[in-house]
Amino acid sequence: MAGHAVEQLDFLGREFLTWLWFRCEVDGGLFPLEQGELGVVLGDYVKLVAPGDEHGEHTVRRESPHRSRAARAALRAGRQVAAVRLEMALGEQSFSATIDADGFAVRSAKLPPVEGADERERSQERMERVEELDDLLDALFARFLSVRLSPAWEAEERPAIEAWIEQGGAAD
Amino acid sequence: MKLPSLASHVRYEVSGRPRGGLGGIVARLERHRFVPLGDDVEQEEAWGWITLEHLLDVQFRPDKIELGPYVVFGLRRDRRKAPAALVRAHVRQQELAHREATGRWLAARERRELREQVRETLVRKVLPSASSWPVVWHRGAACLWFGTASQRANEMLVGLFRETFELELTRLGPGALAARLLEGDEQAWASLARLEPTAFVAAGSRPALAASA
Repeated sequence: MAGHAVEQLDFLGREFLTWLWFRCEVDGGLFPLEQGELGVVLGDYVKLVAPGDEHGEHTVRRESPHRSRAARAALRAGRQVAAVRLEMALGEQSFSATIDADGFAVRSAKLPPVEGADERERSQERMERVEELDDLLDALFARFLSVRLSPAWEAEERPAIEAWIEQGGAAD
Repeated sequence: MKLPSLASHVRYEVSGRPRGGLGGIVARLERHRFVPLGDDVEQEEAWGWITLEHLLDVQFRPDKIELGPYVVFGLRRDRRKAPAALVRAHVRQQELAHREATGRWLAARERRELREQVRETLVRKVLPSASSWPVVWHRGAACLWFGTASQRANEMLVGLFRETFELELTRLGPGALAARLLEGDEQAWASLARLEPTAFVAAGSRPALAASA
């Protein structure tokens, strides 16, 4: 697939983060991945934008912003998730980061501590932690793609997300 | 060598492997190393590669850039710009002086020339502001991490990387990452190419949105 063609699929980023929000609420945020069972909780930041209106963004910064009435109202108004902070736990390890939907930029990541004996070892370990974080995000995205590309998307998943948005979830 | 934080980063796929191994990478980085801004006041920015030792180090050696399976270096940008408010103030001061001396205001062309003179004078007095961001390249995985999401810095990275290594960087945004993850699965690949965006809320049924939070 040519470069310009794959860029035309970047809408998948917003769909992915919206799906992730939905799955976190209906499944309790547990995802069985190759790396182990990953727990995901939405953190203290979510940005929603209307397709085709990048200036009409709606940002909520507070504890559990996804449960706020404002965020849920933005979803019902047709906005999609453009960025979200994720808190993730894999066994004893914790990761958190803000993910941009459009270019998959990672911001303000917090990674598990490193223990190397010297600066060189610690630097390499830090980089390995970055790769671990990206591998987890890739694994979540791959799970989304497996649903998105299957007949179950139109038959089950999409109607379920639409109903969840319509019902407004457990807004505070 | 200490790898700076990659708390914020963007990932790229690298189009191939560099020629000449680690020695070749060192030589290419040397050729495109950071060179500070000179006396040319027209040049507002300078970009180039540095080592991760410190901002001033452009003496590349294999042991400075190799970190396990990674090749690590930095992209430095210096920017020199006269503060806009100060330019306006100096122009105004000289405009008023001219008005008092001659009894007339400057013509538009004279005012543009004065602004340029003021800008050039001030630029000579301004120290450049320096920024740098880490670049981490995993040659085996054909993957590269860049330590900022800044659009301008990312555009410069892609251009300078191409110029330096004759390799292309493709940002692993949603579309490119999907293509990478599904590589080899022809059925999924074909489905991917046919995808259309999903609107979870039909346009006609969207309620008006109250003020932002």
